[in-house]
Amino acid sequence: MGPLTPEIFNTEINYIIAIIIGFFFGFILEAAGFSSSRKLAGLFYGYDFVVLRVFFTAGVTAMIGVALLGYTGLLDLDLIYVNPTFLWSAIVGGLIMGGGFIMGGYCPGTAVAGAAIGKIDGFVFMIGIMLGIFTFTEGYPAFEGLYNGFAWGDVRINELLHMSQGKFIFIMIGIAIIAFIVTTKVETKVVRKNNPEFRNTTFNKKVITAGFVYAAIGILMFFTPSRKDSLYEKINDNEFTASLNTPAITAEELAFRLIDRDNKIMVVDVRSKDDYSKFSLPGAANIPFDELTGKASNDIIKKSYKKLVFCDYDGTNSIKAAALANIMGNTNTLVLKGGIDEFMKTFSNVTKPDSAKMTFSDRQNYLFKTTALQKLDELSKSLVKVQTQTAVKKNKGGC
Amino acid sequence: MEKETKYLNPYLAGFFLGLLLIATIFITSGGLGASGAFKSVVVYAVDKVTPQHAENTAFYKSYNAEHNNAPLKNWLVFEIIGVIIGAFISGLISKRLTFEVEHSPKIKSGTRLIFALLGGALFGLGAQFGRGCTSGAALTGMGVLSAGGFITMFAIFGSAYLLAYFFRKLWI
Repeated sequence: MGPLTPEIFNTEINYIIAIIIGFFFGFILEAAGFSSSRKLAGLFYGYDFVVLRVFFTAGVTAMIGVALLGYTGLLDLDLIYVNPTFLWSAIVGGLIMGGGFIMGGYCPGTAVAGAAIGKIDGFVFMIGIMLGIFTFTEGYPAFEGLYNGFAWGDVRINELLHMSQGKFIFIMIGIAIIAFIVTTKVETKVVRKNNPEFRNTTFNKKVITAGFVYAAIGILMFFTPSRKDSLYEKINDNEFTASLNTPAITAEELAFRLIDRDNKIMVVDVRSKDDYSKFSLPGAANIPFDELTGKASNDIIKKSYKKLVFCDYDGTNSIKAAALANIMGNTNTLVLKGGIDEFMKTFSNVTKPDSAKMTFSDRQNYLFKTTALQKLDELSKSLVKVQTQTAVKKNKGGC
Repeated sequence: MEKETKYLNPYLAGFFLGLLLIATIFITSGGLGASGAFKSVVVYAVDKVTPQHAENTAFYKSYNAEHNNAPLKNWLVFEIIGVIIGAFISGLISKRLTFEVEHSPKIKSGTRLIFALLGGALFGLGAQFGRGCTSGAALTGMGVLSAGGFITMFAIFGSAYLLAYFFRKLWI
């Protein structure tokens, strides 16, 4: 399941992969003509829309691919790097870069491609980039406010526009197809002013067929919920979860087995991270309920050989979590009856049985309950807490 | 008279680029980029030429700390090395290798170079605020549906279009 690094590859191989990826990147850029500043600038004057065609096609293709990989569970979308949004920094940066583009006719990647085939203006552009960066690094204290302000986090564009991922992609495909048709007409008109014999050859049969395929994918995407949404919809269906009959374990039995160091069970706490850190059962892993479809959760649910005991606040979410595990193929589960709420009630303020009528087992029971919490606490301290959130490294990436 | 040269069908190129981006995200969890590599080189240069200044200035200090004092040991730097090789090979195959200052016949090559330098400087500066350039912020941003990426992308192309009239003499 992707993303593959940093788990599978160590750093050295990572760098080799970087070179290989860069090789294809550079090759494609140059082969498409992005090594020529005059071709690139054509976008802004109507005589060459190569930038639009390549860029938009690449963007839409990648969007579809990433979404599909996420939907099929092959890529954990929670772990990939999503460029964070710093609103005004993003806008100002873009405005400045636009100026750079129209004056210099290149962007960093294309300038490298240009320089690589001998374009001296590309090489000079690269020097310029470094001067520009140096201006920023030296003047940083003055820029910091704008740079770090309006931090919206890793918001997705479809979230900002209040629409589903599928709907947004559908609209993007639509806009792309229209843009390609319109700009091809414009380009033909503009070039024919100087060259009446010009024939636009970018739309061949294969391209048109591909266009229809993308349109079909777009329509499909429009109607597809995200994998996460469809899974949660299923487990929120109470009839479905009830039909699974996940066995329950009482607070007393769980406490007993934990104190007895039964290592065939493992508690999976689906409460929030904060509540888990305030109190948790010995050896319990924390997977907040909303993160049950993430990679860390997948690893535990699919790979654990222990019987998983799901617990939450009052028992409702743990049944759903067990249902999710069931869908993932793991039926070796239990749910804590009544959740942590019931657990705490059972072991706090235990009423002392009437000494006159107390039987031996009553006394044993009483002693057990009053000392349970303390014993569990000692156990907790001596065991390593399995905090799933810190165990999975998230890419901090970025340019 | 410009010599005839064959370019890859742009839609096909875009398709391949899209696939490459998907693969990059799948393998590395990050996307493509370019400006970041230049930043590494700048920091490295400052470290080497004026090490004391690097020590005393917050930006370089924190950058070096984040990168284990090896600014060049950066995924993007290696990626750009690949870009250079890949572009060169493509140029070689298509017989597009040539030392030249590419410019509109209506301006001098000196003029072109001045604007290339200025344009580069603006791009370098802007890419810092944008946290990436057309590859890192715009293209990759599109692929992962980043709001910031889309915003930067619109700003780049929007601003270039608005300024196009004023710089038309450079191109047409």
